[in-house]
Amino acid sequence: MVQIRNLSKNPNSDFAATIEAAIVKALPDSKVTLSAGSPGHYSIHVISQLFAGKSRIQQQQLVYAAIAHLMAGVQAPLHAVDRLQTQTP
Amino acid sequence: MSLSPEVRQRIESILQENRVVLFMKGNRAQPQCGFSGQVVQILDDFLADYATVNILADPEIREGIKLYSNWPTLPQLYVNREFVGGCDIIREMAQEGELEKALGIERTALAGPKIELSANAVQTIQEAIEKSPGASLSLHISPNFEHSLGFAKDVVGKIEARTQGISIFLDLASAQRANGLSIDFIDTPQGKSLVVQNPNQPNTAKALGCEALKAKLDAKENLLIYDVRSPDERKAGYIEGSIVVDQDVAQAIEKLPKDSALVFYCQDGLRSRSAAQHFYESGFANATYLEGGIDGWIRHFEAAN
Repeated sequence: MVQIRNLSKNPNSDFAATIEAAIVKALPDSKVTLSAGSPGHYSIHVISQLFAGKSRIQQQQLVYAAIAHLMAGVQAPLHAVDRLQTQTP
Repeated sequence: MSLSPEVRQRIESILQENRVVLFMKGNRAQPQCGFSGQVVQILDDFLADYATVNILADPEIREGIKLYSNWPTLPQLYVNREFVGGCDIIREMAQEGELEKALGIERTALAGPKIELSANAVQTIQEAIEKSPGASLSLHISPNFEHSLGFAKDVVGKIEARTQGISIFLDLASAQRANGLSIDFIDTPQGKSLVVQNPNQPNTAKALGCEALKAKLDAKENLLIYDVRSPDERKAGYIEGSIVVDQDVAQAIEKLPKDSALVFYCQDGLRSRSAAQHFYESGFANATYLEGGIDGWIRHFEAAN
């Protein structure tokens, strides 16, 4: 399940969809909310049952592992995650 | 994109060799980014010693550690080979009182460092205590072993050292540097002055043998080699790439990052030892000198040829 905030107004929305797809691919039950900051910067909120029993860092590592390919290198399209929140449903 | 076995191996050996490692931009003395600086500041309150890896100087590790940790940002803190977190997490852990445990600090092992006060110190301190009701005597020892004694209202979480009827409170990192300390006060024209002897302070610049220096040169380590002789003496022979130290150079050295690897040499090792010691005491932990000087160097390598 994917929710995109401000889809129509957000010039980065195509890329936002890419980020979400990557997270959902790794965490199929996840509910992802994204908000864009300055160019290339996003705040990400993920709710998934798969976080159950994991520490906050382990939860965030799952998300970062899913989007690492979008963040690699100096010219990465996803420059920075300003804020990453994870929780169980 | 994946982590190469070589880089993985390098990261694992760093983690193997150091209980607490901070992968950061810059180093402990001179962080090169605000987030790294914040973490250093926090860790300095908890630990006397920890290792840092400057990822700006090592692009391989810089990208590798992100993959290794599944974590896209730096700094990154590892304790006992476990990833602890980045800046936000460490700050939160410090605020919530979780960091101490995560760093594996054992208060029982730190309890009551042995501190000795001279008769003069006891008297001076007792007078000061009488003038400062409600405050507790606290001692801070910086990473460079600068000692400051003062009064603090809040001693929650601090380690208490009780000696000669006086309680001294230390933060965790200071307590790790305090055992065996002796405190004295001497009279100076400016008033009473604190004199501290701390056996924990590594107090001498290291000597490098010819072979050790040669190995570093061959490995193209990032060294700054300084010749502290006069230009005349230098005519008799010098080490390639060395810089003659004059007043300007000496001032320039002061401004270098404190973890710069400095090697001083002279004719026989004496003047360079004082030079290395001088910079060592002003915070350059990696200030070294060539044992035996250029004389020893020439003897050693000419004999070898």
